Amino acid sequence: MEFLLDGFADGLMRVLRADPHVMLAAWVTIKVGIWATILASLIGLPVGFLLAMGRFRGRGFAITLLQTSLGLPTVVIGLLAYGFLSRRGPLGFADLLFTPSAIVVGLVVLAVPLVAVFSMTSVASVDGRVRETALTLGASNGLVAWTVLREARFGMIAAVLAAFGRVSSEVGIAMMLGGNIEGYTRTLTTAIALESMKGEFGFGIALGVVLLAIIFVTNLLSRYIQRS
Amino acid sequence: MEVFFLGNVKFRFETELVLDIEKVTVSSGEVVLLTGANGSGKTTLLRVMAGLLTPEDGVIKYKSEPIIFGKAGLEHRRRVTLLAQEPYLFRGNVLLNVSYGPRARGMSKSQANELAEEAILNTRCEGLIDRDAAKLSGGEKKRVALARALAAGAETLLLDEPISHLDEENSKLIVEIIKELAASGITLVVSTHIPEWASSLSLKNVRLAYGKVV
Repeated sequence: MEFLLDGFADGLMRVLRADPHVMLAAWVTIKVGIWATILASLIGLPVGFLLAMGRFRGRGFAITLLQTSLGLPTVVIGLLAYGFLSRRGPLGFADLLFTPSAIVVGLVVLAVPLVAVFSMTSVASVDGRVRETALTLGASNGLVAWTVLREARFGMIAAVLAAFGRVSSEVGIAMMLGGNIEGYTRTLTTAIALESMKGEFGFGIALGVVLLAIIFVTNLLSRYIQRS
Repeated sequence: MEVFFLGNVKFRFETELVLDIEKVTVSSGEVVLLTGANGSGKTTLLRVMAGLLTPEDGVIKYKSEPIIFGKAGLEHRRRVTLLAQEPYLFRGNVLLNVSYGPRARGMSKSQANELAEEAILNTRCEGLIDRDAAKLSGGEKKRVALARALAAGAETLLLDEPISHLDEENSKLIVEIIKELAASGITLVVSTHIPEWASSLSLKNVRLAYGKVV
């Protein structure tokens, strides 16, 4: 018990004095998280919208595929992305492995299904009268789609924020594709894994507190947007 | 001048034939009252006339031209606007809602707001202009939706049960507005299952039962 209390005290002290190692890992986490969320949203939001609004062949299969991808273990994504990005892989020429960009690639693969499924649900749950009202008021097809999108905007923003929360707390992809290089690819989660293994429990706690704070603020923002 | 002509129009929900109209015509500036019990096909008929539902059979012409249904029928949907029984107001304030139709027709924001403000005045909604549409009462929502339909500038308005679920005060207001619209010469097709309120309007009555004109 004393070990735990000491660990918490040490962790809090590190947070309060803004330990540079903790802040550096937090910065890398936020940086790769934001990039991955932006790229995943650019792909996932239109996919989710099309799946919710469109009626085309293979739609059901695409939805099942996306929903299945939600359960993909992150180490599997990491492994596959590693295969693609390694020197012998098809994308080896880009020389991305063990860079923040490699982590972003893996996190995008993780976040796209999440953004797509959440935004699809959000668009699909828009009141059916929205489309009909827009049509009868003389809206063009494009404006009808825009109106539905506008009505679903809070759900879509929540999908983006949920994706940010998810990618920020991910460890397997960051470890496998980033290589845990301090100040470069070491994120909060990979740092926690490393420091705990070294017996630096307090350091691990400090990193954990910052990570939780990031996720807490993200959820707070998401809740605020949904309530407004 | 005849604006609507419907001949042998049939519409089916799954296997059930819910509309089987032999003939209905509506002339320009006319006020047509669609009556009939709940489930008699009034709403379905209005939605077909608005171009929102595609009938399985029959001829529907607007100003002698066959109407195009669904998303492709933009021109028809800009001439004929349906006010649903339970209208949906978009997220945002009243002005944003009412200016939607003019904006959809490509008008500038100031032009659209001008038309919207006029429609808001005509429907006694001037006190609501900046209000959040989601926070309006049932009667206010209906009046705002009517203002929105008017601002859209359609030649023909289809009003589905405009006074249903309204208190006496709001019903009176809506009836008053409908009377003013009728006097202005706009073509109106109004459905109701309580026709008494419309007795003072000079109108044609089309009575429906089980999807047929009786």
